[in-house]
Amino acid sequence: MEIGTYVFLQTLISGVLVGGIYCLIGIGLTVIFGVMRIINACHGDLIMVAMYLSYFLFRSAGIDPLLSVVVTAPALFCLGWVLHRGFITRLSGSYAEDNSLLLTFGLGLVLANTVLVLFTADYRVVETAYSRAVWRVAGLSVSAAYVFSFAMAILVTALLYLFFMKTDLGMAIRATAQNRMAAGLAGVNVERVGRITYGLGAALAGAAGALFTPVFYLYPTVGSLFTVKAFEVVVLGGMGSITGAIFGGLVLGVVESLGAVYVSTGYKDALGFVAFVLILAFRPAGLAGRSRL
Amino acid sequence: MGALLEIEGLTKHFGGVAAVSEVGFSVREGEIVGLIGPNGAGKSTVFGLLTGFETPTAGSVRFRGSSLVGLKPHQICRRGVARTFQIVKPLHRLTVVENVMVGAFCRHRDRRRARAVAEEEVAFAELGDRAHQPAGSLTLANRKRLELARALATGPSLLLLDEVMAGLNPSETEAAVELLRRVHGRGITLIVVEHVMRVIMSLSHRLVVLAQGQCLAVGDPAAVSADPRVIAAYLGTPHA
Amino acid sequence: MVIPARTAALVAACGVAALFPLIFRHDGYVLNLATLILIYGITGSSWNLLGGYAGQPSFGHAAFFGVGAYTFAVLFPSGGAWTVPGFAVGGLAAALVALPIGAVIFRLRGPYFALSMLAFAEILRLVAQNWTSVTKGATGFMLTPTVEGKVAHYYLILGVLAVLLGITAAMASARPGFYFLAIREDQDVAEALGVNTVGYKMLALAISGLFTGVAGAIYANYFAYIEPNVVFSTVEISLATYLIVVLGGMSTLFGPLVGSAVLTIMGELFRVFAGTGNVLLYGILIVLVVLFMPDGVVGMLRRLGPRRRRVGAA
Repeated sequence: MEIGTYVFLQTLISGVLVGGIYCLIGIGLTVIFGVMRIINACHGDLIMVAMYLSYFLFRSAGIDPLLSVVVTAPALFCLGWVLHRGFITRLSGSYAEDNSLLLTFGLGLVLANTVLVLFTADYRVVETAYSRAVWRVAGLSVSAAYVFSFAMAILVTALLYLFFMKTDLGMAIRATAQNRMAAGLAGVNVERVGRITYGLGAALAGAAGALFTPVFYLYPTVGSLFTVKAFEVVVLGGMGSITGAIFGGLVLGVVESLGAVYVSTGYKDALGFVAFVLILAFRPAGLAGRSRL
Repeated sequence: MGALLEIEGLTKHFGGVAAVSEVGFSVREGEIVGLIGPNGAGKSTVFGLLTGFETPTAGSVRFRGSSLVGLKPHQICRRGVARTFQIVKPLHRLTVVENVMVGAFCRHRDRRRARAVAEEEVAFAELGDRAHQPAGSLTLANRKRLELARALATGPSLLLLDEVMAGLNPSETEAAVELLRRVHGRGITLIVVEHVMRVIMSLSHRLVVLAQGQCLAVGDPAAVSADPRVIAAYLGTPHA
Repeated sequence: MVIPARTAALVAACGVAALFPLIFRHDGYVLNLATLILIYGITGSSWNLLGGYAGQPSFGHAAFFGVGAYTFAVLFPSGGAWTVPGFAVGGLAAALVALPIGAVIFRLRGPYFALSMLAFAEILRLVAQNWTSVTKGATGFMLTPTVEGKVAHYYLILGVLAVLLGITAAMASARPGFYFLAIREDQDVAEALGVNTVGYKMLALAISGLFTGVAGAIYANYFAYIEPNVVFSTVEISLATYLIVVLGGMSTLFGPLVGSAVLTIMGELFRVFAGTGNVLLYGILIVLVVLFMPDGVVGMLRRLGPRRRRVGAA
């Protein structure tokens, strides 16, 4: 293969690998939206919290970030539960619906800045044994860290799939996302499903955070970056659609990766926003064609 | 004398489903036309098509001779066609009078004039003692009165009423029928969608029966209700 | 003659506002704060027209603020006689930008509209950051300050605010105000009642964008230095504006000004006493306001005060 093709394939592969993790943040956000109609503007900050947790577990106990998923996911589930119970359910007044965005935005600011105050704005990085390892596969260079993260992401997604398809609770969540009233009439405790879903979304953010730790820089305000990515994934795939989030995650990963190599201008991020607005305005069902808007 | 409203070949497809297919009928000025049919027959879709909330896939709608197809709802309202909604939609945080004023502003730019008109319609709809309450606090029956007063304030010559009686108890239904007769008495033409049979039978001059998106029968209430096809549509045929 | 308490309070407040700079003319710090309150009062009141009255809250008004600021800076960096007309030009530029934005995203409702506005603000921020030949990019743009003296500035800005509040009051009590509220409550009903919802939303957006742009131009002239991350800032401008109106009272005439006063003063206190934690306190404030004061200060006062009917204030 000539060099151009190598570069293209490598870029494509690393895009898919990181896209796998993006799928997780997309699924978390979309599930919260689908079930509760809440646009969770603090999603990225939840990921950030998980990253810090993972970082400290690594620093103090040497636990590999990829393994720390088993800690961060439940921990973030609890945090999500608390945020939901303690704050989101308290929304009232004539402007409640409009204000949910403002509220979650505010919660995100609180999360990011609490971390900032506690741990300073210093950039942190996790260096594991495989952080810099590069494998050569069929002549292509592939980052080992990304492969491991991707593998874990697949594992989590597979578990999620089983959960949604095979367990009662999972099916209840899907039912509520599809038709809240019908689910309630069928005997689903819709409020309880809502609370659990928020926790679930947060748990997925927690898992994603752990998986991001070996491959991303860590600083208190990194959350806003992830929130933007999460929204882009969800809009690409259609709000409320889980398969859409998987599609959107992979597409975003690939597009970002290709963009970084072939379109390196400062306007790159602006194009992402433009695409976001245009898709939302003209194809709210997302490129995958499903939505619950 | 030309008809006030002429509908021909009205068709609406949603994806592959024909919600309304080749529906046609006309309405003369001063008539009360009842639009009936089993659930899912397409009655609300027809209303949506007439008032600009949906665009027809095919067919024509002419009001006083000019086409309504492609016009936005607010333009159709200004031409004199008003509607109420099947699920009542009060403007919650505004008072009763303020709700009706929104309608009145359609024909009267000046606030004082709009308020005067609104107060007249509020009185007409017998909501006078609740005039300054927030619309969100009204009972269902009163919300329906509000819906009506609001539509009347826009000064329509044709009023489309979508299941006004739904959810009302017998005495509220009686009062509603009385009110509709008084509306008609003002010279307003009515198309009424209704499920309460005795109401629609006594109120309407003519009936249009829809079933599965198609126009099954049009005519005098007694004749239409005796039509075997109509009976079949409502009760189903004895065997397949 | 009995003067109702409300009118008396209003007159007193106007008196204070008018005489304020004369009393404090030697205290630059206080005057500065007061001027900031007025500038944010303008942005808040403009936002309120679209977000409060017409019910389309936007999370991206920084787009208009920044456009106004940069238009003024690029076209009139040394101000002079062009300062005041320059504000108008800044506002017009923002209004012109508002129209195509509205055309694209008014089909979206509620939070989707809010988010798309945010995306627009970010797009414009990135444009400002990268179009270095015109905007000087991230290094920022320095202007030559004109309008000598803080007192003169204060009165100028007070004038603009008064005009905006006048326009808002006039619209609110006439047909446009009712139509905005109808759109806020239920757009389908509004259409069915003869309201050209698209037209009126665009009107609200255009006026809102215009005055926010004027505020941006004023800001650029007053501080004589702007950069993309400040004037197009989601947190400092867009979020602050939204919060000001919620805090003061959505779709009330004076709510945004009250909110601006409270927020500016609190922001100052946070900055002085909390150092790095000031944004944290800010975030906590947002959460508290949204949960416990969703109707804002003026909204709460209305509930406590006499039951005087006001349009749409149920």
